[in-house]
Amino acid sequence: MGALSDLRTLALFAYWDLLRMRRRTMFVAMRVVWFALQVTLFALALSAMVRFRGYVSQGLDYYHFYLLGVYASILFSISTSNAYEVAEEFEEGIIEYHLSLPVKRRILTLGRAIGGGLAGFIFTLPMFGIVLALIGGATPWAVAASLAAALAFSIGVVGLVLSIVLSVKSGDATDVLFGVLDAMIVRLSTIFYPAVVLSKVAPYYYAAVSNPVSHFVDLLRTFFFFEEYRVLAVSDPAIMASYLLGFVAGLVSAAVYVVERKLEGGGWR
Amino acid sequence: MLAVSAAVKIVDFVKKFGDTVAVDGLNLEIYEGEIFGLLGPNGSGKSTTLLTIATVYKPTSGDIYVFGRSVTREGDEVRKYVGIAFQEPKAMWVDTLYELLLWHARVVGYSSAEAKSAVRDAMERLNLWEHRGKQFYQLSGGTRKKLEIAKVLIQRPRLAIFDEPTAQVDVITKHALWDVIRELRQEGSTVIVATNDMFEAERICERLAIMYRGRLGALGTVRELKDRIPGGDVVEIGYEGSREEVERAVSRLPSVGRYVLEDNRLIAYLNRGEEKAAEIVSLLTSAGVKVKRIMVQEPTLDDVFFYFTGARLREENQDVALNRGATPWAR
Amino acid sequence: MKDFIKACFLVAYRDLRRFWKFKHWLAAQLAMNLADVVIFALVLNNMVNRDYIPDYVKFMSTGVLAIATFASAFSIGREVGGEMRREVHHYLLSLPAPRAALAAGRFIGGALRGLVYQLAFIVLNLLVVGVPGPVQALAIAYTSLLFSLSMSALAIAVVSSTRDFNLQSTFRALIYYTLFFFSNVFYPKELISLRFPGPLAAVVTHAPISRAAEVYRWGFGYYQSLDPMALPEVTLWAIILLAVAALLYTRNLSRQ
Repeated sequence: MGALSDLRTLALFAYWDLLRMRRRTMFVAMRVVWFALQVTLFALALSAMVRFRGYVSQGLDYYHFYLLGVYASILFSISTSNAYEVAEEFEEGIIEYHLSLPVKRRILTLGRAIGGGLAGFIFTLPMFGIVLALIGGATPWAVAASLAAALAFSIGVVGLVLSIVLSVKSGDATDVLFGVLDAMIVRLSTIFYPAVVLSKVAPYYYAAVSNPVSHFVDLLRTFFFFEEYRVLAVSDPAIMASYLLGFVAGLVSAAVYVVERKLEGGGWR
Repeated sequence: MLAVSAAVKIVDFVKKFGDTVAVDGLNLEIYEGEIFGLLGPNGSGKSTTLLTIATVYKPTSGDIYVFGRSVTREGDEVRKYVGIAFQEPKAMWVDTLYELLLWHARVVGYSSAEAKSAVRDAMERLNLWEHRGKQFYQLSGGTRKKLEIAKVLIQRPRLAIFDEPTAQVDVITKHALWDVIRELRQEGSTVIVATNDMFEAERICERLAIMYRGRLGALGTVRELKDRIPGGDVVEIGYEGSREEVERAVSRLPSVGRYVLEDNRLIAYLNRGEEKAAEIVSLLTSAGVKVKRIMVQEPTLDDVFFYFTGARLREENQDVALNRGATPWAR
Repeated sequence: MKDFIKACFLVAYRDLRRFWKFKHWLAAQLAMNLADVVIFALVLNNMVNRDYIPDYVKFMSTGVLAIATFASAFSIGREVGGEMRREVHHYLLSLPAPRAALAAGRFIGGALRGLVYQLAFIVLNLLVVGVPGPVQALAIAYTSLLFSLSMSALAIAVVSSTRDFNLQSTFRALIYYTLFFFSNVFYPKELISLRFPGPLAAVVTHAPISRAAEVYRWGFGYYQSLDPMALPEVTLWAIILLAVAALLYTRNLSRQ
């Protein structure tokens, strides 16, 4: 009975985030335009501009390499955008309302992380479909594994968002932190360039190989271009998958910790 | 009779937003130097009228003249005369209270040095000085309203408009605002106050207009409006004597519309109650009835408001079968 | 006239002062623009085809100067939109200031933001690309002034067309991304001409950001010559956008 009730509550909190995402039509439109221009113009121009053959074997060109990068970056960006939602909820007193409900903190946090992750995942599904079509010839196994990885990644990023926003408890700090994080994490990852190119600037290389975005995007690339890409990826596929799982478990646990131990008794600045 | 010039002359003013008619053929004059109250239920067109006077909106048809200048053709000139305290305070959330007022002072014509002193004076007067460094979003609803009032206080315009100025403010601020309004008037400003607070309207306004569904429901001084309610005053007289004598005496007074006799009390519903009470007493005394006590109660402005708006609404909707002969509050 | 100039100055001052209040936006924008040069360009420099771009860091530094100026001048639209949603424009409309002064003041305020923000990137270009001569410096200043003025006007006109937050943001984003991607900031025009159909290449070449970036590239010495049409086109864009924006903004403000 208790477990069933917890599950129901968890589903309700996940639903809360799904509803919020549904209302953000502006954000959806903006990201769709960004995505369309990225895959049609930016990626094509960039692939014409770079010398990629020197790094990879036959069968993988920069355009296909970058397509999965665009998908990873849009999923990351949409998942981090939850930060602004949560900050707004704090300012509107909704977080206090949630804390006042007869719900376990753990369930509340898990529900929000899963809901936010699910919302980002569902929202980017059409874009994932377009990327798949542009890549062509993907195996069902690769598609299923990529979707599972994408959902896990999105939940992990929302866990990160909840941990940070609920710790700093400041709208301004949230804006600055996530603006900078979005700019830096994407550029210091293997979204635009393979790790081997980054290795020429040592600090960037180490930042990229420890960056969860790199692990996620390279895992996707390995799923689709296994033979061609495995030598370029930041790590071994099993290690990348483990890293991703650790990222999700660690950050969702961090969010639970913040909500259970740090959030209560503190105001919003 | 003294000739009074119009500060604001509203002529056949119509304002539509899409298919919605906010104001429907309003004609009204507001005299120079008076404190004029604009009453009406929500959505009656008060704010739309005020915003058009301030040139924020343009009339769909008709025109409004402010000190003889047309809001449709001479907006730049009109704005030199008008200052408005909005119903919903208007500011961006990042600006501090002091910055907002200082900028306002500069844009309404103060030099840099004068602006600082005028802003400080206004802020101190409205107990805002301690909040000067706070950003707009950090302010309470009441403090935000004070910000709007401070703007007009600093500007000291020839025509000051207050749109529901005391909603959300505490009693002390309410009195401070009334003082500001009276002070502006003493300095020669014309003041328009839109309000739903009947006590406020009665206390500070010299003339009132009641708007209803975009039209003018009633216009006049508070006394005139009260007198326009049929049988509006209540005169209660305690007596000793024959009930028949009292009935006979009262029936000789056509101004008494309706009356009730119970427990040696005469309760009469009429207009101009204070004047008529003396007549009733005189008639009763001459008929041999001993008058023991007299009480005259005039209608409140709430009653006036209801009479010109609520009762009419009910009449239109025909939800309640009305006894038209009786006063609204006696039903 | 004196009243007009004073009102114009006060309105512009109001917008410029508020620029500092959006510290979070500035920090994020700065991080993104700097990251484009010191991370993206630096790393991609190892991958780009030298036949097209001999030095991608220098190429991007000058390009980022154009998009930084554009983005900061364009940011005024966000606030004008916010003001319209909160009906703060009712307050502005009620002030004793001519409507034209209100519009001009806002355009100038937005332009000043662009100019102030670009200073850091001018220093970056002086360090990374080169020092302009007097003629080039004048061309840079002229371009910056007109470019930021026209972008500020464009943002204001677009956002004031509707009070719906979703529509405002969608319009802004649509124009922002279109101008951003359909420019030669990230890729040279030679490459666009080679890989994309003729009309698209022409759009990219004559887009305002591309033209500004070209002047900057020539000004700081990355290009040896400048297309003689670049500066006239910057001027033309400014005239067209300012005229349309002034009309739209004043009409949209007093539409009710």
